Amino acid sequence: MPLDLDKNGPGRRDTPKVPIPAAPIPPLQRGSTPPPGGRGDGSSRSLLIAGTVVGLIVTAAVVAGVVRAARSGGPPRPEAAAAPAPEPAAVPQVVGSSAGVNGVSDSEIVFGMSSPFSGAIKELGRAMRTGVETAFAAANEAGGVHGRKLRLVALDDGYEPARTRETMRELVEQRKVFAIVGNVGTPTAAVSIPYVQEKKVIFFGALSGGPGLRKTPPDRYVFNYRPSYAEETAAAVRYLVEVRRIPPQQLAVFMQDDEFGQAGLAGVEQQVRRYRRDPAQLLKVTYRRNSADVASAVARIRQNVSKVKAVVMVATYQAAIQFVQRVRDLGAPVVLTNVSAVDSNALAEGLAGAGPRYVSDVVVTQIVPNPGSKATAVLRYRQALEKGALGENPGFLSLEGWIVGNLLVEGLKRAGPKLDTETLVEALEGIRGLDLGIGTTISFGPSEHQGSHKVWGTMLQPDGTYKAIELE
Amino acid sequence: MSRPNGSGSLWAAALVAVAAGLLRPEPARAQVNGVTETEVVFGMSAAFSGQAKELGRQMKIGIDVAFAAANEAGGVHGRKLALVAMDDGYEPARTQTAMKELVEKRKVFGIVGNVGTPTAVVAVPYAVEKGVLFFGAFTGAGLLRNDPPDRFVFNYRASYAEETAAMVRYLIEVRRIKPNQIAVFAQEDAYGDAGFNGVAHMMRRYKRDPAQVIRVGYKRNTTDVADAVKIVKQNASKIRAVIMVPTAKAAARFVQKLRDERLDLVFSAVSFVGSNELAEELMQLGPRYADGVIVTQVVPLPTSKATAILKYQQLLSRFAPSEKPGFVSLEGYVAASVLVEALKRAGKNLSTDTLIEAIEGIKGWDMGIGVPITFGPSEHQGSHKVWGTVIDAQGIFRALELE
Repeated sequence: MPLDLDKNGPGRRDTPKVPIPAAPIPPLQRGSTPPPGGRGDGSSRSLLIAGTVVGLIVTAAVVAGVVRAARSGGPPRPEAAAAPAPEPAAVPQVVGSSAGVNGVSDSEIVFGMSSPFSGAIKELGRAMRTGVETAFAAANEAGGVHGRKLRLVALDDGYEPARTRETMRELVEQRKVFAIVGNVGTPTAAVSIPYVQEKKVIFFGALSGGPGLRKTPPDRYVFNYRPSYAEETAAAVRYLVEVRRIPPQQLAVFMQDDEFGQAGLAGVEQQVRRYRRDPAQLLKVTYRRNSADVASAVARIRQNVSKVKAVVMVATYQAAIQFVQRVRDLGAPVVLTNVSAVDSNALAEGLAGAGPRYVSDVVVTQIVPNPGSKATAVLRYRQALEKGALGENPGFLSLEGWIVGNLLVEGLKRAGPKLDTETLVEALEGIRGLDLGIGTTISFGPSEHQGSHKVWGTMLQPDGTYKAIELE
Repeated sequence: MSRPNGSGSLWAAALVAVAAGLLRPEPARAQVNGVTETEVVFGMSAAFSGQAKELGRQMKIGIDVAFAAANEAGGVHGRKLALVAMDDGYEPARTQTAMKELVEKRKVFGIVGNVGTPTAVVAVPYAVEKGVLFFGAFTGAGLLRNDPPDRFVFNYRASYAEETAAMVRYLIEVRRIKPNQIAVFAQEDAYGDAGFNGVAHMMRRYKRDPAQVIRVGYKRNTTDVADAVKIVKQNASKIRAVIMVPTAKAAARFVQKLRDERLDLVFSAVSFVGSNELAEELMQLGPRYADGVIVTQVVPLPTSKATAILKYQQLLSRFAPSEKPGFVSLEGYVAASVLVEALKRAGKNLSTDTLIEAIEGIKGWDMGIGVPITFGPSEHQGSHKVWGTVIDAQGIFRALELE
């Protein structure tokens, strides 16, 4: 059932016909598609006028940029296939200042995303996409970046690495996107990362804390907003040992049996070694990706129930919900911690629905602030979300997508009108101490491709919300 | 949206401004509560009656003095600063009414210098909901220091957690007292909890279980310390120091009773105790009660000869000649001076949003108090500095090296 996601842009003519398995995702807006420029109330009209004025000035500036660019001569461009069919746009066409750059025209920049929109963790793909598109919508409403509107093409890989190969190829080679943003998943990233390096395509702000995206020194085209899973699980272990006073040898790990689980396990092992304990002695139980079959994992916890006082979980929400319920049913007082990629909101819904005794002592480490916070950035996020996505509740993952989208917009602004992959890489690496008001500043550099190292602690509450806890 | 940063976005912001200008030739300023062409009115809800009334009175003196100095110089962008202060008696139930009166009836522009943690439990959510600035409150509690910080809440002072952490470090490292020999005497409410949490945090750093810390207390707006004294006496062999998170009268009574028992204890209190009032209370009982009691401070000694403090002393003698320099009025003065600086930076076009941006733009601002003040979108606490002081047998505060 290949739906065409591109129907949201009125007047899109030559949408390439796409072969399966890359099933495109329907657009973010539910219900009827609003006309361009928003619904015709008074305020949007004046916005439209303001936008046009800005647009005209920007156009003039773009021309100036072209002149400058022509004088200086740009760096070598990626082997250029033809630019995508020009879009009908409000901004007058100018001779391209980034001619020959995939996905970049004078009126538009097209980004790609390969994420699960089906299968066991489809909520992660949907939320991440919501966040990125909300940030893009705000930038577009303000006239775009250097006159270019931002657009996202999202393809479903179902969290299966085999499908990611196809979706990535489709995005880069057929849709000719400028860069990849907000991909979800660590096992899928294991396929995407080598591919984007080979194609010299930026891979920005993925929802993955895996080490494959965080090499030392960092891969030139790979940028992360979020801390690593190892940073999250190490923080969880410190919390369990120092705040909850659980001896390190009484910890166990429940993990997905792939790169995701391994990435989280690494942080646990590292921290346990700091406490002068042998990580080989840790009880490790697993489940298979895209399944919620936790029976054997729970059976092994039951066999060791007298020795296990806490479990560090490196799992996705469906497996996590099953595991928490079954472990609680054992009746032993066990603290259960999760990494941010579990999808806190889906976890909360699943557990709160199962009954109040399942919500107690469930901790989640977070890499964004609480989406209910009154902080400047989070207030703006909620405002933008309300405006853009009908009926979408604030959540940790769409907030992450929103922050990622905003960082990308900031990089694009700094890169200037003469946009290509190399200028954007340099612009991103120039971001130092950027304070969006999320509680930590964001810095990149040639040797630092991970913007944030901050981990927040939260505890699940009976009403399905999360309360801040001190991790140290 | 990302904040304007770098020339590209400044440029875009300028364009938006130009565009807006074209659309609206007359920049008719929307009505902002509490702001006229000639005046900016701030509100304050604090204790002006009851056990904590000295705190409210002193905070107000400090703010009044800073405002008077700004007004004498012609105001800020031609506007005189005014302060409407309401008495909540340090009772949260009354704070609700006082805040409502200030915001909804008096229509103040922002709140400055509120006193107390239990009262802030009521006032902060209200101010945040109303989108009203809540600036420089006299409390170090965590609820005013969320991470990330609430958009409308700004603090000058270090937190109670920072004060108690400094004290635990001092007791252990300078006085060589063991972590498990430290007890806590704390008011039984959000104020006491905030202080206790700071101690607990440090105990974990020293690999001790905070659940083992002996915590005794008393009820807010009382001096009923009999139970607390009894428990400390019972555990006298195990306790060598008590960190106090109380108000002045309760603290004085607590110290008096235990010193009467001839227990050799180190006493220390957090800044909220009201240092000068505590010293006076103890001196009335006798020099031996005052001598050696430690107080952590979030401002320098009010008798210091530092630039900012000399100016404060001068202004105090001019605008409040009957008042002696003190820690609490100095804090009010410092907090209000930071506010005045931000009002200057916000420019003529004053609104809550422009003022917030102006405050967040203050980086490394040195007014001469011994620490530069820095704010940002993710940093709403201007100072993290804690000073140590100790009362001598004359009731005078002396500087105490904490590390």
